[in-house]
Amino acid sequence: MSEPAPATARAGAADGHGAPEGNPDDVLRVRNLSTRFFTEEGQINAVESVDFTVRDGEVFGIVGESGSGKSVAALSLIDLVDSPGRITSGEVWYRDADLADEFRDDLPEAVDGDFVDTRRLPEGVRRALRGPAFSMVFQDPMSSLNPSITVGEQIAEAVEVQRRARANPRSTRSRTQEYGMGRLIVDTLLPNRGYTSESSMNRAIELLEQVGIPDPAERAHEYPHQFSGGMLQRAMIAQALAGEPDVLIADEPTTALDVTIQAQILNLLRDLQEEQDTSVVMITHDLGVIARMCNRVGVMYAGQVVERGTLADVFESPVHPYTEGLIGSIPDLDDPDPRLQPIGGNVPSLLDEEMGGRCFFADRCPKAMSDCLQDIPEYAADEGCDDHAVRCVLAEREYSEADALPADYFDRNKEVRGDE
Amino acid sequence: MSEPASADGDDRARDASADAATAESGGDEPLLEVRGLRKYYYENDSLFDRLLGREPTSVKAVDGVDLEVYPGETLGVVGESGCGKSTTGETLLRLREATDGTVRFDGEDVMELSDDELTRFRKRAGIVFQDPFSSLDPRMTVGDIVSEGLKIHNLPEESPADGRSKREWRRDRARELLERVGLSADQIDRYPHEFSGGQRQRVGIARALALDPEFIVLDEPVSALDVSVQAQILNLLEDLQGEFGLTYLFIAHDLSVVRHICDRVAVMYLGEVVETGPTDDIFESPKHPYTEALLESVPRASVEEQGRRVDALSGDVPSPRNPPSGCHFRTRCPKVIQPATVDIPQEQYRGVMNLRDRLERQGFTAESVWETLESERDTVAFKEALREEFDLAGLSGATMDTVEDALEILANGREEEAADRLRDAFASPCEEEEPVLTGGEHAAACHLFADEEYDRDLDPDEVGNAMGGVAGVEMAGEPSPDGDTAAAGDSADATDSAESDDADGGAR
Amino acid sequence: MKIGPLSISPRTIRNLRKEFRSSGLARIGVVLIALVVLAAVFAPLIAPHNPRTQNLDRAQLPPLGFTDTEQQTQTKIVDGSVQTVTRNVTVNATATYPLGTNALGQDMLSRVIYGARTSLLVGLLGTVLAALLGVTVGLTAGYYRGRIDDALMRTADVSLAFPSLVLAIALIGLFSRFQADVAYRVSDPLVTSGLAGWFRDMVGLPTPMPETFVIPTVVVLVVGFVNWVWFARIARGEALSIREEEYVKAARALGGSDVRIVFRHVLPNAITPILVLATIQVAAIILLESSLSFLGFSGTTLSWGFDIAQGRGYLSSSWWIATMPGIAIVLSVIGINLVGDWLRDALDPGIEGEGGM
Repeated sequence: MSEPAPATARAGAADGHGAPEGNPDDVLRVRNLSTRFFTEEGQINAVESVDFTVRDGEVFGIVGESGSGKSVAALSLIDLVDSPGRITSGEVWYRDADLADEFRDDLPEAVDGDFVDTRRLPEGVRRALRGPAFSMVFQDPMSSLNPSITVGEQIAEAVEVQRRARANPRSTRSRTQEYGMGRLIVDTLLPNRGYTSESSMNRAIELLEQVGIPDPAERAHEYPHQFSGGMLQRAMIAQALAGEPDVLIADEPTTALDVTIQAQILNLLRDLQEEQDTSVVMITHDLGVIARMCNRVGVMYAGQVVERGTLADVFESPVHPYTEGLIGSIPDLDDPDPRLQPIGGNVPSLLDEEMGGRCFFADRCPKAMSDCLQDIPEYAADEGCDDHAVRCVLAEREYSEADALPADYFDRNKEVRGDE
Repeated sequence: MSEPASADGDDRARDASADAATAESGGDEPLLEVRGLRKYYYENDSLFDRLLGREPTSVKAVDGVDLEVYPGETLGVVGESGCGKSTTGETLLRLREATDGTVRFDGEDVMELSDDELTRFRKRAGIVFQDPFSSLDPRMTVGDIVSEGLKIHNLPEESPADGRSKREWRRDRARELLERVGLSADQIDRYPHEFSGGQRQRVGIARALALDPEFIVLDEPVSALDVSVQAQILNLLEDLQGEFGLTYLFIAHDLSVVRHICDRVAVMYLGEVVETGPTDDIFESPKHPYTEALLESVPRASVEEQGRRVDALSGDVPSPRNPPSGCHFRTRCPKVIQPATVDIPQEQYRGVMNLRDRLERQGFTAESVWETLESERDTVAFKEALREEFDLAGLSGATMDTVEDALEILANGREEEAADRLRDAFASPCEEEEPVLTGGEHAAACHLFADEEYDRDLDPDEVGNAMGGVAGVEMAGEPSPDGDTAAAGDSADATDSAESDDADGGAR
Repeated sequence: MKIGPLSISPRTIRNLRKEFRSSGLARIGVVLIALVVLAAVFAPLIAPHNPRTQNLDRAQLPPLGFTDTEQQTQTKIVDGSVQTVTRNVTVNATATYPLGTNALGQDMLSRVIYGARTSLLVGLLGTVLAALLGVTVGLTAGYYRGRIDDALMRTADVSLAFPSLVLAIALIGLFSRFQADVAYRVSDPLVTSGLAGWFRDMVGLPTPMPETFVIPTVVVLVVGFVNWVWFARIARGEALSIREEEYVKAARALGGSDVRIVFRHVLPNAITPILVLATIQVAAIILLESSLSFLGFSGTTLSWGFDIAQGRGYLSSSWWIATMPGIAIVLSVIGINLVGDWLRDALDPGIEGEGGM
């Protein structure tokens, strides 16, 4: 995998090993992360050298349309990408002083100060990080919970796993491997035994109460189908909170919900985040949700983070034409705008062979220029501030009609390549 | 487009309806008039269930909806999932058989149409669906999909004059339509799976346009699309409306889309229209607490939105199998009207109502509360736990006494009696009687506005025009003691019925 | 490509090809089926003997590669008294009868080849009948639901409650009442046209071949009536889900009639599982036909089941009489099922979905 070397001014990027510089508040630094899917139709570049950082106690938003790779990016963070997908490169630096000490001698290249590169840690350790370090809330609560086990029991199970992990923090490797063949056989033979102890069940009820489920003691004994969508999403959040995670990744947590329920869940997430000082990575296609919840934002398009910065940077002074287009596409609730300004064309396929070495947005971009036909590195958008970064030549130069690509440039090229 | 229209020999007053787009909804005859539309589904209704003597239970998907759509306008129907908005759209096109109600389209009763008349109606009224994947037959080419309507109606009626066969004519028409909705005519022989979601939705729109309809139900046409594509489709729909003088019924859950595209809006909740009026009125000065809450909940895509604290509605939408009595929204309403005898802050009243709901819930026992307590049979702790759970600590005076009473009864294991006690003391007027839409252009079905209705009904000019005119008259017939203010009139009214309810209870 | 309501998209063909290439079992299945079909169609050309010609001199010859010891009992007059002499005679196989002969001296290979005809005919015709019946019933039930569905599917459930063989025998009893001929005899075009004779003369095979062959009509009807239930169930399930698809609603919104919707939208989208079921049903019906002819309900003697029944009495002495048609049944059923699996994998609607992320 020969990554084209980023040419200039990659804001806050790390070259080579260790030491990604950045804000001391960072809890997560993602560098150059790429995830590919190797399917029968070809290689799909779902996530393409993505960089971003998440700070202590903030909500970082990733916004993008379907197929932009935002969900895969989330899964890549916690190493849950399934075959045929694979993380092909990149580093995920996570701040954990204890873990850093533990591996400082064995795996020096995976440790930098208080940070460890989770991608270089052994499989078992990485797995053990899920729960106490990272946990995830998915979009569809109905399919994310097992329909044949009570909600309380499923949360208690998560509590149990975390509890065992905490009881024996040093031997991270065996944390989740305690449930062995013997236990399995006993559980099969004695089905009444249950998976969970009473104390973890009580903790589960506490968690359910914390996420605002009324009558938690009663409802813990109900099955997922007896819950409404909003209640299930609360239960999912309770399950994610079982390990008291440092980073909560919420993948479209409100997309399947109605607006009034969405408002409840967003309030809940904000309360929990403030109470527990958790960092949240919020993945959504809804710019409104981003605006309400997030401190900083990354905009994804075709697997890349094309623009990132504070909420105000991205919403008020966007540089990338895609970001502008996205914002221009949304009808304003408080103002019946006469006409929307949509982005033309369709989301690209992400098939490796169809993605040239150029800005992936160029074929839909109203400001495509000849400069866009090369690989676009990340530029700092404003002088002296590396927080607002853009993958667009417009950060460096003005748009000029003279360099503009002819309107049918990409159509013609398609034919040349023999698309049909 | 003009050429095939001449071949199909169907000339309609396009211009007239296009003009009407700008006209206010007041003067014109509605193109579509829905009155008291109901659609119930029955569960436990199979042969087997009958043999076992089970009572079928009804799911009231649509429960008495009144709508008018005027020529050339876009009426938005907005609501959360399960409110019956899509069922309304399909039922008024007779894609589902209505349980009750009338639908008049251009003067004809759609529910009474014969087969032939229904076929003619189908030509004039089309539909575009939400899901761009399931709405196109995967085994047909887009050309066949777009021209299917023409084939069904055996169009063109006569062979075209230019020597093309009917088949060729249909194919040319499909090409034209594809071009019109922004696809390439070369794609006519492709299959739906070769298109993206937005392109498929364009094919669905072309299919609906093929028969040159006057009226199209747009059933969440952009909900499944990405924002950038959604904007393309919205623009296309607007252009087409202007070009062909179409009348839209736009069903959506996304309020910003509705604001953008609709002239008038009807807000639905649990199978009923709770508020209707011109879009700007609804969005700028909503009347119904539900509409207010909806608008409040929508996240705006702007920097000011950051950290905005939303007073979210509590609870879930109740099941349409067993909707709440009276006003369907009262279980979540932040402005529930308290009975005349009670005057406490809304949150406390809500707490009492929640406690009552819990006691009334099937299978509730005091024992389940005892189980959560650590101490043995300590009534004080029992009451404390419930007070805390339902935020009842702030109560005082007579209200507190009643609640304390009820908790005491509950602690003694008499659940039903405790519930009765609360019901007697705290029953809201909102649960006694179903509110009806007030009259006028901007109407809400809410007891808070009931007296407005009363005044307006005295004015004979308004009655004919009123949205819920018929229902309004019924309302006027209610004994409503000189309603000086909404609250006063309502509470008095409600206390009456509450008392009669008591009497019933006693008799039992 | 379009065949009636069935249109095969290029993608389907691609899938079929891909699955075929990647699956060795599919190839084995296709080869097996090809052998059976070839044998059935060209039986009069390739069968080495007339399957009905009896030759008691050559009875119970073993198949190639085997020898058989036969006890010959002779009664002779030795020294004036009648004695029974028993001696063991070794019977050698001959290349003229590669699979041996049965108790009547008929060539087993020729009988197996002709038996393929009966099996395939009954299998195909029975499946077509069952599919027509079942798909009609199933689509009607699934599309209209309600009372019609209840009535039709309860009938189907009742007929499912009988063991299929028992039901089949009962139906044979019923149909035989109304139809005197249990079987229908048609002339063999390959033979009557003289093609078979000309070809056989040329290659040097014995010429007189049976001029007619028998279609066991009652058996076809019976297997159709026994197996329609499976089609009805599958078609109903598909119709139930397809009728809820928005494209069906869209067709209704355009004014399409029920018949049009069922034939234009529901059937084409339900055809894949029906096709897969049909291939498997051919195998099931071949087995049922064999069972019926084993029990003597066939109406033709040129049937694998019939031959097994014939060979049953000779299992201890001449095992091949029952075994050869048995192997033929096993191979063709395996072949059909392998092809069925291949179709199922290649046409799986899951593959037709969009590869989303």
